[in-house]
Amino acid sequence: MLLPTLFLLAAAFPAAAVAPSPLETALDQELDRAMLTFQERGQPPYYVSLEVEERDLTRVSATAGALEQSHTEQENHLDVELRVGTPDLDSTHPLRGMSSLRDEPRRSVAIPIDPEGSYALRHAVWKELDARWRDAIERIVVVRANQTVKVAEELPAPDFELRERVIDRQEVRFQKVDLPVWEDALRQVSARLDENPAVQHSQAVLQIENLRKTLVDSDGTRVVHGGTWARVAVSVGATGPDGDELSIDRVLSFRDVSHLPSTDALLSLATEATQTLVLQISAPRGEPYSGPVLLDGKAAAVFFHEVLGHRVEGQRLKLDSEGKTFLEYVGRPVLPAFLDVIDDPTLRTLNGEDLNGWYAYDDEGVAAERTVIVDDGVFSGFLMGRSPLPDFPRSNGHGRRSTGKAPSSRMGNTLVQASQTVPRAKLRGMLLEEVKRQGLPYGLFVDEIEGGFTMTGRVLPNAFNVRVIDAWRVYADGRPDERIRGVDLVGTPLVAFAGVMAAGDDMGIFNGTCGAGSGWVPVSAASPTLLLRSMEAQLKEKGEDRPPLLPKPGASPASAARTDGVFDATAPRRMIARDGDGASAAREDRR
Amino acid sequence: MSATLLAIAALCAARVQADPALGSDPQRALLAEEVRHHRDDLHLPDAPPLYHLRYHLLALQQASVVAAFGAVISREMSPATVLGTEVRVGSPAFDNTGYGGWESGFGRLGLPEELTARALRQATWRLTDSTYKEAVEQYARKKAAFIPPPDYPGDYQVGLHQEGPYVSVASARLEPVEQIARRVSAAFPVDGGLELGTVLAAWETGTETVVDSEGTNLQRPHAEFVLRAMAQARAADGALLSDHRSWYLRDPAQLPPRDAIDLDVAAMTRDLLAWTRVAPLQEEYVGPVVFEDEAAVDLFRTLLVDQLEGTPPPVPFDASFGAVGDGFTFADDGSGGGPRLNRRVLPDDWEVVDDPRADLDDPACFAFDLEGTPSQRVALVEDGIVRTLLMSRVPRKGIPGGSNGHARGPVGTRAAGRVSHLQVSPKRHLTRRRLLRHAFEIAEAYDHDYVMVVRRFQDDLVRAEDRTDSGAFSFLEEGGRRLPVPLALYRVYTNGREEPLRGAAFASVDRWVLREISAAGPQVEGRYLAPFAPGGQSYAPLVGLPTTLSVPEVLVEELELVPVNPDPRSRPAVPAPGR
Repeated sequence: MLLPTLFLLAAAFPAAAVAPSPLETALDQELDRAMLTFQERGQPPYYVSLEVEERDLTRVSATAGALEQSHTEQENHLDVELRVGTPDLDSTHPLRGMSSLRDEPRRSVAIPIDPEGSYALRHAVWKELDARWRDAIERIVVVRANQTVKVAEELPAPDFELRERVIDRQEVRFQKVDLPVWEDALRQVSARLDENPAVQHSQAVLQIENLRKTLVDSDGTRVVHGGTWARVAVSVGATGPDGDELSIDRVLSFRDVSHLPSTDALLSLATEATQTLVLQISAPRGEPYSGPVLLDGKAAAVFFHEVLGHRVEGQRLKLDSEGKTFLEYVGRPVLPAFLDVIDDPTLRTLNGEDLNGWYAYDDEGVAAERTVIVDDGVFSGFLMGRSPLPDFPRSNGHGRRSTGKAPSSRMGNTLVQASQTVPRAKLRGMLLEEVKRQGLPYGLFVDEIEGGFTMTGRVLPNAFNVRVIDAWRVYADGRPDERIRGVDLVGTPLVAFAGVMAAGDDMGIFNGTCGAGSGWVPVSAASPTLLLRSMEAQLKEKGEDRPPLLPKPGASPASAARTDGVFDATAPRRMIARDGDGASAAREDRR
Repeated sequence: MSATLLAIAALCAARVQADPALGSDPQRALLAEEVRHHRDDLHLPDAPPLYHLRYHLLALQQASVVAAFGAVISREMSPATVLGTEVRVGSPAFDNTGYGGWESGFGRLGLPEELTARALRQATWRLTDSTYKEAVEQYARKKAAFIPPPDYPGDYQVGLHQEGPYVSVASARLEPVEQIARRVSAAFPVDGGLELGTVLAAWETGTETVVDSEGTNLQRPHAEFVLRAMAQARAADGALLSDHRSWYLRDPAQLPPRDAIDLDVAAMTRDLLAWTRVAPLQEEYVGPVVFEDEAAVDLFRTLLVDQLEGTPPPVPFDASFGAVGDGFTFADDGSGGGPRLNRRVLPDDWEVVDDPRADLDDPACFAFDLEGTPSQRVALVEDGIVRTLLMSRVPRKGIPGGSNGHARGPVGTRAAGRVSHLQVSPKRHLTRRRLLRHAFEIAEAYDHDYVMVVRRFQDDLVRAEDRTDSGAFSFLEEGGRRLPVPLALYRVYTNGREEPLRGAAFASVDRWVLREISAAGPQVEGRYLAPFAPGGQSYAPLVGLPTTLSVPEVLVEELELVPVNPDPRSRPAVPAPGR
């Protein structure tokens, strides 16, 4: 069954004819009015931008066959960026030492969701602009003193890139779904998730976020853009007999609600997630390991996101507290010559899958650009917002942020592409060859990950952690593959990259949300399956609580048996599902 | 299609039927069954017995709206269904509760808005299991580290139970809340005079079901409506002044007529703007002070209320953090806050009574408390001396009667005896005129031909709406109590002339002030939301326990007022829109 979708047009005009909205006009007027005063006061900002996010958020969730919530809410927020000084040194310059402790975090301001609220809107804009200016004229004094007192920065660079104005008012459709239909669907899916007596908690969720951003700046830029992020997730969890808190989450992301899955597909997903949980409960915990690892494409994508992606966010290089891993690698090889890495936020889909990291403009009013990070294994450039580096003075449209944060350079769609691939089916054989060569009893195949994190600074180890959900021991002596739990992949970036041996002819896609200094932003990462010569696995943290003392209420033994035989539990899911699939070329949709 | 996929499709053909949502009676029946089941079956080897188990089921509809200058900023309508549990292991004389560090034995869990039998059973299963394990461990920690003194009153009072009544309450709706918030906020002028013109409105209705292992099985109605109109205006020297008008009711239908609210808000705005033009206090003042109108309510709210609330706090030690008994006493003579049994708190002849049944249309009132105990009128203070305290079922030395039905608090926490509808009554009331005359007599000793009169304080929660006002939560940094900053402060001369003043704050004030009240004037009433934690502070304007105080206006013989210097940097540079 396909779930019906309903589109509501927020603006009925074709893009070319979209006139300034009352919101934009109010922002414009308040900006002009404030600039006059700032000029009269003798300390005018050289740049101001006002960005309003109009957010429409729908969330439906169910557990154990019952609707937990189903509601839609609207919220509008204003973010002001105001710079006093010059583009070379302005009031936003990072402070060092004790002065940095007085910095107040940037904030956003709630503004009316009510179209009738013209005075309330202008009042909120006035108050925030004024407050930001008063903060800025104080901060620039401290910035200048801080520059005088401290040693020269390692990588002196201007604070801001001035650009030509852009005027582009895009039509942004707020997408809707038929809520009663989805409520019923999630009831069914959550009931399925809960059927198995081993499942202790479960949930099925639909979330649709519609976002329209209106940016007005003092250089005349007027940009209206936005998009929709829809997410369906099923999750099941249980406490294992050894206290391990196990959780299986299956998350599907979409940019178009017409792509949302059917109830039947979700029921299948629920069955698979439940069965995987049951199998994980009985799987042995892994142990610390060092040796060859086969990373499924999705896991490899997260690996690149953590290991490379955060270290090529250009703005990080300006902070002397950062590790600056790739600063000196421009023009030098960092990966095998058969690999390219790009970040391309202009891609809407890849191989038919919607990409979370697609956007038309970044949060600094710059159009998104395809950016090559590694070309034929050679490091070639960084992701840039409007905070320039000496050799990278231009933004490539990667200045991103979440509400209330200052933008910084961030990833969008990070893609690993291989010019030389190995059929996926052969990768397992290559893994075993390497296992035998290293004299190990088994190698690791990482089938499913939930995400990861990395540390890029200088105080803590410059290491990464890819959080594994499902991994398999692939034995050299021919024993059947064995599912294990309780390990994560860890390592340091330069060593890890040196071990990439081969890439598969497939493409795994991870859609998620990435958190860093400028907040949480939607991202995607894609990669072929990768064989690495050596990686390290460490034990994952483990819970200590006993499983519930009493049996789960209402659990039926019949439902426990239902999942048996649905999936082949004796081998990795993706290994079976995609063998011979042959999807080597990435099909891109860059509309 | 592969065999695997076929198998999936075959399974999917069997649809799962959604369970029906439970009605009120089946909910209570199910909870009673779960109480029996868990009390009888839940046990760990060598663990102390589970002697008490209680469930609270809070099922509310919440509508809330924020509006400013006639426009809606946010609106939300959502159910709030919460299961709370209380698990006690050991015995009433000594159990897992009342021990510092962790307050284990209490838990809460959000429930689906569609409360089916399956969902409710699973929630009780998960919550009871985790809370029971914590309780067993906490019991062991307490047993290992705490030797009760001979006069230890025990941890719980069993044997009370109550069945019924079972009530239903009309559902809160968003539309009227939105209309009210929008309309009231439109009463704020749009001429740039105000820095804040915001209205918060919230309506919450539903029921709270209480089922426990002593046989309690009842439902309490829950209906609260809050309307709060808040304004801020800035003086030329940068001082930010705040005021509000708030209504705490059962239902929006209890609001005054529309015109009356509009007039009230308009008057508040007019007065607030007038106060910005008033000269600030230049020199400190020491002498008599009269508290009139709502300032009198705030005085008693700040200084009296927590001297009457008797539930002992958890034993304030933890083996990880300090020595057993370090600085701890069960006596009531601590120099900080806390109850003052058998001590003088007010002048001779004053009486204080708390009666949760005084007016059941008042959201501060209730027929049954959070523990299901019928609420009682309690005479707390006689002749100025505290004779008993407001109690939950947690015993206290010196209070032989146990609970008097005043247990309040959020579900899933250790309920405490709290004030609900408090009447503070002196034997003798003076008229305002005579009260002032008495004040002038005292002022002579200070060589003043005037006295200070406070009629209204600013509200810290409104002040905190402005992020430049770092003083709003300064009580966090201070050891002692602090009266809020006065808004309506007057120097009243013996010839009757009233000179308004701003920019003053009371120097440190403690509860001894109440014993030094020289005289009482007319009775005034005020309502507010008390913080959930006894003696705590509120951090949000719509969260807390509705509380009503009826108190007299009073004359205090000596207090100290000091000038407060505003921060000139906080003055806006750009004229407000409309100016």
